[in-house]
Amino acid sequence: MNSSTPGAVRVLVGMLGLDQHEVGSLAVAGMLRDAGMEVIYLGRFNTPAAIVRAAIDEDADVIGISTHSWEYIEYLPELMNALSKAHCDAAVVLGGSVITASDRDQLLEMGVAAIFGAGSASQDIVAALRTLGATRRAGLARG
Amino acid sequence: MTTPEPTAGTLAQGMSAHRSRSGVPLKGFYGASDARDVDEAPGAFAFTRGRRADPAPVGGWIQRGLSGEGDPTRSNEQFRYLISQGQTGLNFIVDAPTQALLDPDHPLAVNAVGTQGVSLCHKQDFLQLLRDLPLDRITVSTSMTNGLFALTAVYVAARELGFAVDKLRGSVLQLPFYGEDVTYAVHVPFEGRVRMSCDVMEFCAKEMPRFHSFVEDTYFFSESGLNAVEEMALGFVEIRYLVREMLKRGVPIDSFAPRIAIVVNCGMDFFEEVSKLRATRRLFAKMMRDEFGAIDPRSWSVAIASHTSGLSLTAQQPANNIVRGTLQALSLVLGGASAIEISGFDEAFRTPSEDAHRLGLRTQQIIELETGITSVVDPLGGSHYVEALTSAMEGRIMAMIREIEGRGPPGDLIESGWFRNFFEGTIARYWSEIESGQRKVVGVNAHTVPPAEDMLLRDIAETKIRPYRDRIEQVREFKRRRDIGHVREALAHVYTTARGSGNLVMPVVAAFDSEATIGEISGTIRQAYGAPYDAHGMVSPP
Amino acid sequence: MESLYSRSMPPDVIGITGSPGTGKSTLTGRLASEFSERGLSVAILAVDPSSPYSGGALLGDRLRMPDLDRHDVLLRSMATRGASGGLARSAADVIRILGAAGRTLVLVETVGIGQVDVDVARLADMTVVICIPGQGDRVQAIKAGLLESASILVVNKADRDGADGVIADLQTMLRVTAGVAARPLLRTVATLGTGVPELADALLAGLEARRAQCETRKTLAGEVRDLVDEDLLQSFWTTGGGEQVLASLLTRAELSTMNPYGIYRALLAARPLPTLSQCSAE
Repeated sequence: MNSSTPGAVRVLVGMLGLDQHEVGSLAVAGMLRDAGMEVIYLGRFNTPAAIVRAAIDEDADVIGISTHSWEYIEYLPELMNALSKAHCDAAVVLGGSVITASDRDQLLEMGVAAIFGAGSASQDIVAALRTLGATRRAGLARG
Repeated sequence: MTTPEPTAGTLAQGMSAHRSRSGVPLKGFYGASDARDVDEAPGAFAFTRGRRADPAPVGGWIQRGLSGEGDPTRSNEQFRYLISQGQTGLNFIVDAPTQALLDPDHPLAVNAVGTQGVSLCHKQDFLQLLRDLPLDRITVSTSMTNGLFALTAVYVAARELGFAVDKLRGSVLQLPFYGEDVTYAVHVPFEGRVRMSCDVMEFCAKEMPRFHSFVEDTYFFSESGLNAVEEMALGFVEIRYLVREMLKRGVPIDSFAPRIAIVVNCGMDFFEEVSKLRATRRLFAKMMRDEFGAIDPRSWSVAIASHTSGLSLTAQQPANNIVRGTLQALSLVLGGASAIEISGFDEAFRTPSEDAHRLGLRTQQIIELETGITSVVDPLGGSHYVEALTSAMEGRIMAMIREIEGRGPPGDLIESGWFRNFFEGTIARYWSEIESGQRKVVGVNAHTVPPAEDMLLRDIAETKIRPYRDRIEQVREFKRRRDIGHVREALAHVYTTARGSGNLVMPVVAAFDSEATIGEISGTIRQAYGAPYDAHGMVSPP
Repeated sequence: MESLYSRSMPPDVIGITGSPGTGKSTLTGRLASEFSERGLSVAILAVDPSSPYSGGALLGDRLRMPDLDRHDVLLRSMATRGASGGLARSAADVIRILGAAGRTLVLVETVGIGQVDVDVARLADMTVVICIPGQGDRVQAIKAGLLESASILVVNKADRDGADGVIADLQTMLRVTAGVAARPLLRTVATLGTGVPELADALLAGLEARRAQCETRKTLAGEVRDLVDEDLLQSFWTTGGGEQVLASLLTRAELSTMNPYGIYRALLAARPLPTLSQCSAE
């Protein structure tokens, strides 16, 4: 028995590097909490290594990165590599209005599970995260 | 998320047909009985109608755009270009590491050097940034969250470049209250942040009398979805606190009050923004004269600059943002703003491009030169509606100031996270208003087009600034070549001063002269206030 | 789960509790670093309340513990999930898992709002209760029952005005409350790390003394009690068919004569409490 087997989807929410415009990240965290998820809030100033570590410690289903600067372009490949090296199967999703169409394709190719740009409806974000959480749990249950 | 508890009484119900965006109930039309008798002239107390009696001459407000990117050399070229294009003031922004007072070689800076502003670190950078510019004719404003480092950087450069420092015009921001929560955290404890602000103001009162040593910047934090009343109330709470601290130090009010300015946000509720500027001037004047005992009329009339709201801009249909910027700039001109910056139309999806900067400048030039709007001072003065709204805003702002001040020392509210919770609540409210359709935003929840058709001006988004990684090695090289003994000596002096009660400005200038860096000097000040040298635990003192 | 118990020694458990704003997370993080520097393998279990409306939770303890990486401290955040009774059980399981993962010391941090803390205090070998100066009514912030469960009292933010007053108040409370007079009372400034080594010393000394007294039996007893409570209830309501009986009683009872005590007696009469052999002890 594991504390997170039943019930709520566990989501890490955080930002990378010196990206400091935190209001979006806080609002998303509150929204996911209100949708019944357990949000482990990492806030600002994270390195990819710190995020991977938190994902493992916390048995997170989803890693949500909020971005308001272009630092994500440089950090995402590093994060995806570090996750696979650590055999961490949490799904990575990225949110922020600075993500452009051409980046989107590249990110998806890199293994990012979902991208939420400007104008994403909160119900779509919640639905996508629920699905990702359920998929991971089902995988764990199958062993 | 629920509406923040603290201000339930004054919070907006959102924008309806019958309320302004900050919740002032509106009538269908206004008549003579709605507005108080307006016998006030522009240029006279309480300055509701403007700081000056005469119509603005050509270039009557400072037209500028926020600029700075990459390294100091690249930014200096940009500045010279903007000045050659008719810009009458500079407002430079620094990159994220510099805002956070970290050197470019800090591990967290690696992907952020020079991308969102110019990277600054040491004395040579300041000289390079401001060389070949007419510092005696233009104003140098800084959008750096820490006023002490902004001021000392400008001071060192101007002195070395041969300009009379006491004649310098320009400004620095002071954000000791809200900066840590909603913009770039510098990780100096509250007391230390307040002290740095007051040291700058006290220094300038004596040595740089023409320089605005205290710009209250309500723009940064109001981008967290605050309405106009909340924005100004929180701004005034900070102004009043710092003024009281200065008076406690024994600095006469009339020696620094004339150099207080306010940078406000400007959203889309047109008449409310006009009235906000008018109400703010009136409140400031009454506060300075009646509460703080200022006698000099220059202490009563506050200059208000504005940066138009980035939050109001949309990533969808970016061309619409040009219209938004134009309307916002118009409300600012009508409200009597002293300096205007229009947010780049591409700001919702990137650090503004040069094209966007130029367009913002051209918008202002069209208003100034083609429309005739500037021929008369305060053309909306006496409008039943605008006068009534101005008074309503004044009353609501004052009520909220009292409410917050009644909650105890602001320092405790900050440390306990009260303001942070407040900002979380306001941004959640803002988004839920858009999502529910209560607040209409064209292109977002009204009159949308499919992404495939949304191509106008879209290509600009794809041009990105990559991090200036070369800077990192250059700074390492700079650090290797200097005399470390000198650096340590100067830092020790900063530390001792910070532990005591002396003014920090000259010790920081001396440290820059000894080739210490922003990261090292700020780390030393953090230590003096009992905080870690580096909040991220990644670098150690030299 | 049971197999974990046979394979590993239980870790030492230190409970840390205090009202919101007392600097709990910062102090817990500092303590963890301190223990880690002394060569212990440390984990933190941070328990925060779930939202009663959505069932979700915002778990923000990692924010105030930036040193986790450098000191190899494992932090696991946990939401109460509305179950104050069941919480102790799942917390106990997580503590065991952390023990099986090689962590010899677990710090359990709870928000000081009542039942949850008392529940967790029962799992802990030592419990630290934190107060701070300047909370209006001084030590009113200490909820009833919490003082008794404290092994050590800490006044955090002790560099602030009013610290001496709080200390004096606490000393008075300790004197007049039966059985707690000998509790250590320490001062800390968590943000600066002041007083943290002394607190760590006191905690290690306490753990040592407790080990000598074999008090872990008490903890074991508590865990067994929780197991019995949970399993008996489970078998009464589901496998024993209690839910069905209740439902049928409720359809039969006239609305006007409905009385919970009467229904309760009827329910017991129809479904006698199961014997332990009927329980599904896994």
